[in-house]
Amino acid sequence: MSATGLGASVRRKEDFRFVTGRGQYTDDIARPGQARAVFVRSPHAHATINRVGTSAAAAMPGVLAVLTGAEFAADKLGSLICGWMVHSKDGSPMKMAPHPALVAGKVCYAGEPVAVVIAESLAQARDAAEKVAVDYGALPAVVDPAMAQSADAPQIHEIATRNTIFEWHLGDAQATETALRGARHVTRLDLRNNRLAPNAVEPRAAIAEYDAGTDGFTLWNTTQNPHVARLVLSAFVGVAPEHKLRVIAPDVGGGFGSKIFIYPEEVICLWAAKKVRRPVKWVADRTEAFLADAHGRDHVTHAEMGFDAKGKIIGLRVKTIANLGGYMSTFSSSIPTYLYATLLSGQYAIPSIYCEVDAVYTNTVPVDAYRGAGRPEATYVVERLIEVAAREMGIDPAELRRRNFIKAFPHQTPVIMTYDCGDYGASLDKALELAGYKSFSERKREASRRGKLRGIGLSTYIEACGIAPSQAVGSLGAGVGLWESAEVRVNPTGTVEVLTGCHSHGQGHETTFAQFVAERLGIPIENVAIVHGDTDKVQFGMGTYGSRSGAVGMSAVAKALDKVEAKAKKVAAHLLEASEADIVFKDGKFTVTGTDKSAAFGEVALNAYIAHKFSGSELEPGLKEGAFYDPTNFTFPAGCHVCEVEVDPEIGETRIVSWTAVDDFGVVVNPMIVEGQVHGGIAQGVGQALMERAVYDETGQLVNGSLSDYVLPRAEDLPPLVVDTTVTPCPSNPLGIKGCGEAGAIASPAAVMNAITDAIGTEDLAMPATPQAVWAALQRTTRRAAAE
Amino acid sequence: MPAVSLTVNGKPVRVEVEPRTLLVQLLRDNLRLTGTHVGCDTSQCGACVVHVDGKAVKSCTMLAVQAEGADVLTIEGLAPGDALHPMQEAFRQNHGLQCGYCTPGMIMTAVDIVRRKGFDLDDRTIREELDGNLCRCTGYHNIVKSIAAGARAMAPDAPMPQAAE
Amino acid sequence: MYNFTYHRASGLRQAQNLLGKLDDAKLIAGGQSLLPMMKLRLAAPANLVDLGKVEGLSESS
Repeated sequence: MSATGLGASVRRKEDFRFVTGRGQYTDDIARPGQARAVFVRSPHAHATINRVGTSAAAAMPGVLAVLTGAEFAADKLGSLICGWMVHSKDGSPMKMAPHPALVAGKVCYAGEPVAVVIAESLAQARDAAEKVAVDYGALPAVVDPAMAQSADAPQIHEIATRNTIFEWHLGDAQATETALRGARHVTRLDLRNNRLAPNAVEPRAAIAEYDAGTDGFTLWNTTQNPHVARLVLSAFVGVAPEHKLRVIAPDVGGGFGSKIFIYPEEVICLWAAKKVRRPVKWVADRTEAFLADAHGRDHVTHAEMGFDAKGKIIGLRVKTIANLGGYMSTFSSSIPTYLYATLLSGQYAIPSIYCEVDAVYTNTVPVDAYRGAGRPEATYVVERLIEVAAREMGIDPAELRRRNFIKAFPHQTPVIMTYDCGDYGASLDKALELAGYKSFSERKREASRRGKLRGIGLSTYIEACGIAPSQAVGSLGAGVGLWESAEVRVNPTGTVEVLTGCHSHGQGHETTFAQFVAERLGIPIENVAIVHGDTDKVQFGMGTYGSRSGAVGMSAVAKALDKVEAKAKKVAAHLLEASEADIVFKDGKFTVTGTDKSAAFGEVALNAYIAHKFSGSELEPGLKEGAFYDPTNFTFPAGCHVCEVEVDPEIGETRIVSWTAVDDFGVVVNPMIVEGQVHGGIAQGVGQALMERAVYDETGQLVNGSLSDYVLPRAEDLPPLVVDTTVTPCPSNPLGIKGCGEAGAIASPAAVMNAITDAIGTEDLAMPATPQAVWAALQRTTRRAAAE
Repeated sequence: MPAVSLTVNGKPVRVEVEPRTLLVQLLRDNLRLTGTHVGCDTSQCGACVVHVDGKAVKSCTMLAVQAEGADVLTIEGLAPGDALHPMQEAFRQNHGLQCGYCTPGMIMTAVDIVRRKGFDLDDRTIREELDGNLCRCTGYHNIVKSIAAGARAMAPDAPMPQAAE
Repeated sequence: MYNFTYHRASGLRQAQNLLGKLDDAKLIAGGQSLLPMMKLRLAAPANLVDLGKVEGLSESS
């Protein structure tokens, strides 16, 4: 392993600009003549828009325009769409309601944009926005997914009776029913997966610029996928033809899924830029981020796991109601279906599984992918069930898992996924060892002497990422293929630019991709530049999310490098006056086999462009190759997390005393970066389990839409994290990479809740396990015990 | 519009601003020093931390006019030219950042922690002192590691830095 | 936040005079409570009197 190749913890190239404040995030960009946009947002969760009075606002100082939904409708732009078709059990398609970027008829969630003010300065735009007079007709609202389908819930969209978007299922209902009826033991749980606000520290932003001379648009946007944004904006919304729209994602400050989707704001900025003939810039403030960024999770689930006399799982049945919010966001339908139910086998050999999912509209902001996107929800169900089952049956939770682990691969689950490889026992063993599982009872006794309750919780998770094989997802309803592209451009001076359709928003691609390329070509890592985030530079790509950039993005680079190597060999053959078949490429040198005639990569590169030696032959000058890589399967990272907590029963406060994670990500490109991804994912999962929940009251007001009221994990809330790996290389891509970006967030909520419920001796606890919730659970337990 | 005169990163500046202009807006919009970031609207994220007269201040919670005559240091001024301050280098060495958005505020806070708490910082102290700074990417593990390393490197008797990797 | 008129008090007496004669005025020292409220538009004084440069007033006891 070289100091800068695969497997090395190379320090990041991108860090220099970030630590010196030289990063260029969207709000750092000031376009000449730019005007500022502020949105007027509905204070009502559900209301008709009777009248929008703009004259007072339009007369305010500095105001260039005040635009409304009526004007938007008049310009006949298209709807925002959900690009993944899901069918109900009866074969009918999902009920996708129209979603204009700026509504005219009625609003469906508090915070929905109703008008936009464009002014010279931000302060002027804000002042004027307050003067826009909207006359609303308030309607009753429904916010709880468990209530959305009831007869007296207000109907939000005409197309969806009982606010039901689809009633979907997967698996074998009959076989599962039979299994559960014949089970020796059935564990049943009612679980809520709490609704989360993503809160990347950089708020969303967009700058739209229209060039009247070329009739072309440029959009700078905090997007995880500039090409997907461009496609949706051109093909569906119709704001510009694709070839006249350039989308640039500059440095992006975190995404976690929330910056995948195409939102109303960038549509409106583009539309407004052409109207006012000035660049239009919008930057969200944190309150807007809470109100208007897609939220995550929000499932209500009833689940049953049946066991035989030996503690083997024989059946799993799950019914989930998934809240998709006021409209269907870009990927929303896939999250509680194909990214959720397909993981319900967990790491276990389960013969029969049946899952039903009803997706519903409510008067809340749309819900879509948030780190893990369906897999944290699945893991929570499976890992809570097995832990509770172990307690109910009096079997050690690690032992019960071991009994049920899949041991032979490939393994076809009853829920579509075929796991290709893995060694779940290895990660469990290593995690238990590192976590000091065997000596836990001593620590528990010691804590008890101090009046504290210690608990330990496991989460042996598996996930499906490396999103995704196009044929598979296409057959499941995805509107686009989820391959990735790469173009390797070798310059005459031997430096290399790699254009990737992925886009780093914290993952360090400028370093990890360069590590791979530099090692492959035998050139210094400083000579490799990674280009991403601009639709004018990279022809097409699907972006970064779903832990796909290593598995899919780098595989595309690998394919392109194969082509570069093949072409370079041809050039070397001419240069070295040998036959192509005799050329070997190793350690950055092309050598004629059996001789000492060789040429360095740089020399071959230069000759490819000088072309003196082969003009006239069929070999074209130049050394630049592109490739698209379409995965043949999902990848299946898996592992074991162990969380140990100490609960103070007087105040219900939970302290995480240790965290151990042993993950199998296949081949690891940069261990330092992979660990960082796990750390961050764990923190988000801890946030979900202990403190985060986006709360709407019954009138549809988001009551905790600020950092004062929605609690995010801080440094004090986490201990140092012990992170290690086991490796079973992924067999389905050239590098053996499984991906690591989401695993921490997928594994962790179950580990935390398993630990706390272990500590307090009751399962009657929902996320977030705030001090108040834990204290109340303890009181209920004490009262119940006293009553018995 | 009132004019405010102050020193920023060692250079005197004089800017006319509305009274309601925040210090962070003066820095970012008027002076185009965009390294200081805005992450929230309730003074809780710390992305905007700068030093005012030697002390860490959330520049989103200070009016520009309050900085009259003050000596302001931003992330851009922490080290001259393309050099890296030991704390910046420590963040780079220890992977104390991912998306980089909270990083300038983290680093400025970190330097201030060292000023107040010294060069030998333990895990618990650092975590307590970071209660005004949010990161959503790193889980804090490597930030804490970076700050401990950066603090040691800032000590007057610290060994000379190794050649950069 | 909403616009306001800013006054810098050079001394304690001047601060008192300003408070006396200005309509809808608030004192600002650190501003760590007042400014967050003003940023959220929950407070909107027409005048702010800044004590920041008043000699002898550096901390509250």
